[in-house]
Amino acid sequence: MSQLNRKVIESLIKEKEFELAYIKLNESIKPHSSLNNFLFAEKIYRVLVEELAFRRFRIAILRTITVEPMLPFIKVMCYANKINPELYLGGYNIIDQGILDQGSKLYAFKPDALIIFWRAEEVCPKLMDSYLELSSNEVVMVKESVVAKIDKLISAFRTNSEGKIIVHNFELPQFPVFGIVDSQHKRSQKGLFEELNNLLIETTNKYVDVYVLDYEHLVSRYGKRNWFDERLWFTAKAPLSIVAMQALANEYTKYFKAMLGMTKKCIVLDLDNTLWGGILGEEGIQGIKIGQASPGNAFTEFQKELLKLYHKGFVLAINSKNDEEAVMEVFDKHPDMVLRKKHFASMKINWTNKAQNMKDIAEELNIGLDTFVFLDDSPVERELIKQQLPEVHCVALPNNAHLYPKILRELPDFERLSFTEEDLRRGEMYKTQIKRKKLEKSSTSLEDFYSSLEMVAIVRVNDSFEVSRLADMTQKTNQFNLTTRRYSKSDISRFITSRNYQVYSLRLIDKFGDNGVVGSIIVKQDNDIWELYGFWLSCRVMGRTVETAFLSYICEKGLKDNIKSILGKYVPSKRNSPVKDLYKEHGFRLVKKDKGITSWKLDRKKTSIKCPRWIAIREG
Amino acid sequence: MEQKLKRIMSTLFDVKEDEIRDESSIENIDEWDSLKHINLILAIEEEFGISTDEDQMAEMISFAKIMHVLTDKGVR
Repeated sequence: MSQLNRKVIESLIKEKEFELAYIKLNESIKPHSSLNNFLFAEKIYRVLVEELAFRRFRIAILRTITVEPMLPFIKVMCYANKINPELYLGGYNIIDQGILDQGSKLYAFKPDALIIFWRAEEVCPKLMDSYLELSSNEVVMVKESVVAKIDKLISAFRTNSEGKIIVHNFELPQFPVFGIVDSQHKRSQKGLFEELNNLLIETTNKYVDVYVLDYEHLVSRYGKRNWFDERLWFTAKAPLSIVAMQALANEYTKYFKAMLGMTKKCIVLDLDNTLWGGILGEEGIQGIKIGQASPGNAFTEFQKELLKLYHKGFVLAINSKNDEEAVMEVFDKHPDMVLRKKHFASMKINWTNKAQNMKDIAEELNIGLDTFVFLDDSPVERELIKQQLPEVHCVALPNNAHLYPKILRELPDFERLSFTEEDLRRGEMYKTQIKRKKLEKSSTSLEDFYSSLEMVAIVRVNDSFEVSRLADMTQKTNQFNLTTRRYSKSDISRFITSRNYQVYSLRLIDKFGDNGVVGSIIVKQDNDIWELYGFWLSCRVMGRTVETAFLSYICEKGLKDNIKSILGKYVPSKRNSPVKDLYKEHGFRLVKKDKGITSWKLDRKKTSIKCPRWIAIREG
Repeated sequence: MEQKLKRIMSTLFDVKEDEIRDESSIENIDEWDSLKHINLILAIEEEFGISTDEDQMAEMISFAKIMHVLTDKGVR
């Protein structure tokens, strides 16, 4: 970062333009910028943390090596992603003690996430240093003892903490003992570690919320030579180079973001010099650059990368100053386009300012602007969005298109901890959403519209196959989230097995297709009273009376179970005001109001909730 | 060069630039410990485009001594 940029940021802070200072600072530090920038940035972020709303996250790191020089990188990467990290570092090469001792400082710290950064050199030195001295029996014994140790540690941590675990796998030896024939040798050292890594995955898969950081893969992506710094290793037992420290900190942040439910949902794209090279208005459909030859092939590759994101469940939209008719011709007729009209949930192609378009897209898709990523080559357009809609993540596209695919691949915004069936079909679902909107416009009355949708709701209770989808829904749902509670997979599993709770899910099918699991209610039972502990509905199906159908089902079920009354609660958040009167509208009585939190009660004998006649309910 | 070095040390150790003297060292700056020393060395190498060996790393433990090493390496 130049001295000038530093001055600009410092003066923005003086003028209390914190949001803008934050955006400028973010631009200057990523990706792979210099250590001096990181150190300067860390200092400024510490001021901004006080002024802006960051998500707090408690991170414990247990390690077998010196990682202290990496901590500034971890902090800066967190700050740059609106996370305010609190760090706990276990003692040098002490892993077991903290995890196995219930009264340890590790547990007192109450970590949201635990990182286990271990290396084969310390965990199983025999397999590294004296491999050739071991008999094959001894190798098996060491291997089994490592796996048993992993199992013991994870199981102990799971018993004592609800924190999530990120555990490194082992780097394969850079120079395996049998050299050029190692991978073919029956005692291949590299093969042994591959096997150990597979066993690590097998072991961790027995537990929930344990994630294996593919350290081996990360190291190879950057190159083992660039990763290891011999000098720092021999002088300070700190083996990571600057490049390595940055890359690893960046990788950690991807996990933190996903764990905090900060994954983005929607990618908004410009067209000229973004999706294709050149300017359509000037060069025409034959002139724009896309296809097999350079420089068009970089744009083709970029589109392919976007298509992958579409298939993983991210929503694509267009926000471009262009002539709509000419653009449609490109989408319909240009033989080299990878993306077609059907891949976009929303298209704003006009001469309106892009900030307004952005707001319209958010409204149309019914998702928050803070889940948007905006890709545009024009610094002017990006600046406009940054100033007017700072919650949108603007990604700068440089002048050379060959960097586009790489920039997209390296973004931490699209990392998720699981991909459910729903996710893989989401792009298509948003598209049918638009068809529904069209039908709504053509229907004479709302009731006609509902009836014409031919909706069927399938309700299931305590279905362990739906754990990841339900956890995911509590993490991602902001608007229709009555108690603003958010749960991990292990939480949901606990509710399912607990005698005091029941977890209901609702899948909605209509004439346009299967919307997937879109609603959930967690019921807490206390004798003959049910409390609706949490109630979530995907924004995709809001405004279709599904909530009424769901509540009526729960009510009926309660009657069968001899429940006297049902309690509900509304805890206000920044985004859930659309459901503030939900219980009132369904005949619940207000029993308490405290700091905006309202508690509601429904007496089962006196009131019942009627299921809308246009929704058929089935038990799945 | 002096100013650049002071800026690095000030950012890293939370001290004011004008408080850094020749005799400021790992002994009398609180935040300067053996682990932060690694970041200091890396930051200096990057800023001045030099690289140091183990002996020099161990030697660069005060402002004056760092300046000495940098001058030896022809940094202006």
